[in-house]
Amino acid sequence: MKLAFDKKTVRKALSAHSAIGLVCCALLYLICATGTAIVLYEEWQRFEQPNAPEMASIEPAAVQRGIENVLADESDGPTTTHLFVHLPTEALPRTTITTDTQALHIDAGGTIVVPEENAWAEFLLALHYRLNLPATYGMTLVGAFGAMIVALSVSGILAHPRVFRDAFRLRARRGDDVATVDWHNRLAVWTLPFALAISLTGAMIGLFYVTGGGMAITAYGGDSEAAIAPIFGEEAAADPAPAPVADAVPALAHMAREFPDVVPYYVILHDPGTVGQHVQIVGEHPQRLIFGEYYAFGPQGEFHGTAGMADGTIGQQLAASTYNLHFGNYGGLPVKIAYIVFGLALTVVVATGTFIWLNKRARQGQPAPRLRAMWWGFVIGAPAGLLATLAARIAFGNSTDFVPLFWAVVGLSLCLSLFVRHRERDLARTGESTLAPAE
Amino acid sequence: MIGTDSFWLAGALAVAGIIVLRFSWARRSRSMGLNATGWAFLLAGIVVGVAGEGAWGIAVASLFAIGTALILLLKAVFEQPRWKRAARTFRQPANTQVPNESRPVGKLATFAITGLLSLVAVVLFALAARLALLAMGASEADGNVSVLGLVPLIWPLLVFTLLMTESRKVQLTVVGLIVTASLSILILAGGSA
Repeated sequence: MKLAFDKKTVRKALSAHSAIGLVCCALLYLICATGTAIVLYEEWQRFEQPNAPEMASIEPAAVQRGIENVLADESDGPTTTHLFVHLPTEALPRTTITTDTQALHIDAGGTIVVPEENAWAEFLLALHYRLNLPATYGMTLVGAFGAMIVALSVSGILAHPRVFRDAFRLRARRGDDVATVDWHNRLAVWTLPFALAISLTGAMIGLFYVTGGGMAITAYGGDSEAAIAPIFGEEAAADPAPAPVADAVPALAHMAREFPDVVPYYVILHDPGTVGQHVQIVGEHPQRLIFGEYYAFGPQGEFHGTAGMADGTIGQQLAASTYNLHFGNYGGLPVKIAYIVFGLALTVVVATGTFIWLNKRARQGQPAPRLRAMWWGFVIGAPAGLLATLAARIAFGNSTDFVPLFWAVVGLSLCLSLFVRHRERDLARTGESTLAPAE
Repeated sequence: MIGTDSFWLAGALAVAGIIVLRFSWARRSRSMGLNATGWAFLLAGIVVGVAGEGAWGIAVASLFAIGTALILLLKAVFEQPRWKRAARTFRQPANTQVPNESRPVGKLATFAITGLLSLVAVVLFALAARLALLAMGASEADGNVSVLGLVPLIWPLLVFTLLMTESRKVQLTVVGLIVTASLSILILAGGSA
């Protein structure tokens, strides 16, 4: 099967493909590499803090005791505006209560045990989500790069007229430019559905500041929360007058009684200890792509309804499906493993794409040895930086400043790569042989 | 996560589709029948997946298909003989120029039009599409999600289309038309929800 594109179209598509790839390659590589690693977000948290209390489930009364214990722990300071209870799940069998100022693990009886220590997993998530930049700029940039994966996929298909005929041809053992091209094309073609799924969902999440901001300005008087309220539901009006803390027990009992197939994994208290407080339970719907459904309750557990993530409009269900589809947490460990393998493949596609461009330049008599060395430095440096920060987490603890360390390792890798190139060039000039692999 | 019968059937059909396509494309001559069979299996996998498990079924069946293809691809590495000769090095005369835009100003202009202006145009288009959907009776949630979804979908396609267009005038005209049409709708409708 051959797609009937004329040579001129193919040439222009290849040119567009190269242009987009060159502009995006470095950060795209970093986003793909960190995205692959962050699939194991829950598992990294368990690895970072193996001594945190774990449990398969927790009784509603223990959840309530935990909430009251954490609020009592914070009674000296301002009352938190939101309190999140992460209930034990298969991937993360821990109960963790997060407020505006802290996160604490509790045991199966609701007693506070130890503060949550997952700084490395959070660093990794922030690097993937926003490149360690402020959220507005970082997420927008990452979202834009996600959209560019879509452009690269479309242009790559158009630029490859033998896409189906060559679909299983991988001359990897040639050890030359053709092998690099084959790796790039084959992995890109076969991971295309995966790449489109994660890039479109990633761009949808990342470009929210642009799209949601645009909606807010044109239709909601600049209020971004109002723009997404029709999709995810809106917060009830606040009433700061003091009141006894809401009771999560009847809400959780209602869930078990009325929605036995739904798996609650978050209890959220909005404005706890005030007259305006209310309880939300986020429940997972097994074998659905949606992240869950919001179940709203009053302070004494009176059920107010759902937000419509599971059975609302098509748009609501689509919006609720973006997160799981992007992060691969909709089918347990097997799906996570698949996402890691395909994510690695996508990372290789990005890395080899730039090497193909460098090889082409060399063939056309315009070699770029410094750029090649720098690209090698970055391709090795980014994963090396991640490993170095993980090692620092193990060696120096949760308070390590990972961001400067990561970028220092990447910078060092770039410098080392350039140094090795200079040394090879000097050796070649003096006629000495070198054992370094030929580039 | 435990799947149902339809989930396993969808996965099996997806795997079978990839294997048949592998067999078909490895033949010296084309076989329309085998090609059609392979694609039919894949399509059947999607249909069974969506019928039994909805969007979740399609997503998981796709993972089966991609995984099978990658395994076959790995096998293909060892089917090719090891390259006995020295690796091919392609060298062309040093005076051959890379045919790309060399002026920095031109590159910046291309980036500004195809990257930034096109994003503005697509956001305006999506906002106009939202108003059109609302006018046609769509719910506010669907209208708002259309903005969130259309921009990541249309922007990369516009970027690619503009880069395929060599004429700067055509690039500006395309972007200008989208902006003008979208702004007209937004202004006429008053931007109201």
